[in-house]
Amino acid sequence: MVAVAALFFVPSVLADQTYLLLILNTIGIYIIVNSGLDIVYGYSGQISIGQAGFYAIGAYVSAMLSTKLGMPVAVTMIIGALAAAVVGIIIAIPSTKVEHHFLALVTIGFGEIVRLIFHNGGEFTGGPDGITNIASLKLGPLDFNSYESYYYVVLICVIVLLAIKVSLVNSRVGRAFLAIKYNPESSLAFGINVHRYKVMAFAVGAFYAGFGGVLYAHLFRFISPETFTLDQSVLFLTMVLLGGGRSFWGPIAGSVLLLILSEFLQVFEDYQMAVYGVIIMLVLFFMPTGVVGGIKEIFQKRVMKLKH
Amino acid sequence: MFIKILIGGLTLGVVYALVALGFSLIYRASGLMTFVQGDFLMLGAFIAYTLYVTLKLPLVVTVIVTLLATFVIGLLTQKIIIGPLLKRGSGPIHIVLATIGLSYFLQNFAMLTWGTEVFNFPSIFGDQPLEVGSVTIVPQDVWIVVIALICMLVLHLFMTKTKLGTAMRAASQDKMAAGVLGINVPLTEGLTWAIAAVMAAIGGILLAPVHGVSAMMGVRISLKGFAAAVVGGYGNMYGAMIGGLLFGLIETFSSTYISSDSKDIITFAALLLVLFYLPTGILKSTIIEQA
Repeated sequence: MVAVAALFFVPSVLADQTYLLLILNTIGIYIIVNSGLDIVYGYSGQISIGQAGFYAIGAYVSAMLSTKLGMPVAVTMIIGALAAAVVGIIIAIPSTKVEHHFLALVTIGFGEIVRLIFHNGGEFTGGPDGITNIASLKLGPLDFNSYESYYYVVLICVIVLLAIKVSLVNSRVGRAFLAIKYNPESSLAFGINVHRYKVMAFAVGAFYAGFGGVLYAHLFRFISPETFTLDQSVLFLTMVLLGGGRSFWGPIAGSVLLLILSEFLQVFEDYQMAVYGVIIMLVLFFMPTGVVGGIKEIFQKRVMKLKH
Repeated sequence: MFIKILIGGLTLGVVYALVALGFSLIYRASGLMTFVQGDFLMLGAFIAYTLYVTLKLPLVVTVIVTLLATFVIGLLTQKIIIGPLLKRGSGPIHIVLATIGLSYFLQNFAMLTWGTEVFNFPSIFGDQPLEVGSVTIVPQDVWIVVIALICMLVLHLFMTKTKLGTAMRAASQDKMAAGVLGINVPLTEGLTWAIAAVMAAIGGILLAPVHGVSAMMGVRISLKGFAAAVVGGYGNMYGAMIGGLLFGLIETFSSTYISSDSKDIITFAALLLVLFYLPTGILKSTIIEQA
């Protein structure tokens, strides 16, 4: 509680550190997307390498409605996230009968199609150049047009969406997700509608990714298809695996660590991608259950040693 | 016009098929999905470029050294990264990420070693169009198709007629039983990755004179090759060939008759349709259950 309260005072300390505030905003957005992906991957056991597609739908829908049609941003943000969820349901219904690698491929194909549609969308989507001068979020007299003010918006969204995630995964629905992940046949025998819960998990993940995209669009106030590539989807999945799936802290730790890492990697200039690649492999070698899982294991070993 | 597009589609299709074969071999042998096939193709093209263009070595030497080098690279990938990860109990998704990590590493490596631009590779078989009746044919395109088909035939013969190929097929069906029967399973596992890398490298050498050589050339082809492997029937060698040709043709025909902007959308839409309506691919795939 104290820690959460402390987060609200961060901008007053960093008021003139614009770049740092931008990174904090981005971390918040990634935490939202990755917590959603964790519901899909960590809890219901479905692999998605296409979250950037939903991220793009949220960002583009909200940007187009607010900037081209002049609708209020607070409304378009909700519409954007819901649009991503609806597309999530549409794509999940036929996808639930495809498994493992095939599902991974469906999501890759989906993500690429979404990106290409926005890329070839002509005037309406801005084509390869994207959309510039996206409207900022305004609520009554408040205009959230600085990184500092926007930070509060992101922080509140993170808290609300994480609270929803916690209550969801600890509910009957969350237990059903885990049941279909570990044993779809016997869950079916227990009367769990496997198909419906898989679609539901996918839709929730899509909503979170869409919400992240919406926040992204009105933070940077510029979007282009370049942002929503397969590499972005891979980055999301890497963050979840790095932090550790099926956990509250995992996606948070993954988002924070990988974003800090990518800032740190800029030191390597031309070698960035190679170092990033090596780090992915090292994490898989030495922390296969993710950072949060790894720390837990080390802690448990210590406790075991103390007992003996 | 139609014949010209058909040949163009086949040229692209056989390269996809070569890459897809690698995906398929690996999937059947170990139930794993890899993202590094496209980079093996890129490395093959760059090694060939260095030997043939920079060092001006004869073509035969170039091809032999390139294929040997990629064979070793494929083998090392399995021995240093994939095998040890599996031993530590990593799941299929971890292997996917590991190959993505390796892919980033190799792309960056290629950029640092050779540069970021697109290099021209001289045509080996002549790119002067020939008039055959009313159709113009580029000899190079025909050679690409013929050579790729020969390679596939050789692979088919190797897998079915030789002792080692049979051992590889046996090991991919049941590792433990194959081991008990005296088959060197670690060897067959390494060989699978090495052959996959060589197939991709052949694709790279064939494609180099047509599309040029660049560090990112593998990325697009890898995705299409992967799609081809799955659509054909993942794990089925012949399915991979059919899938590759299918995607090559879909891509060239849609870019000519519809628009070149939409060719990738159509390709991926076709992929999704096949996956939804034929979840096991055109030819039945060997589905390996995994946790």
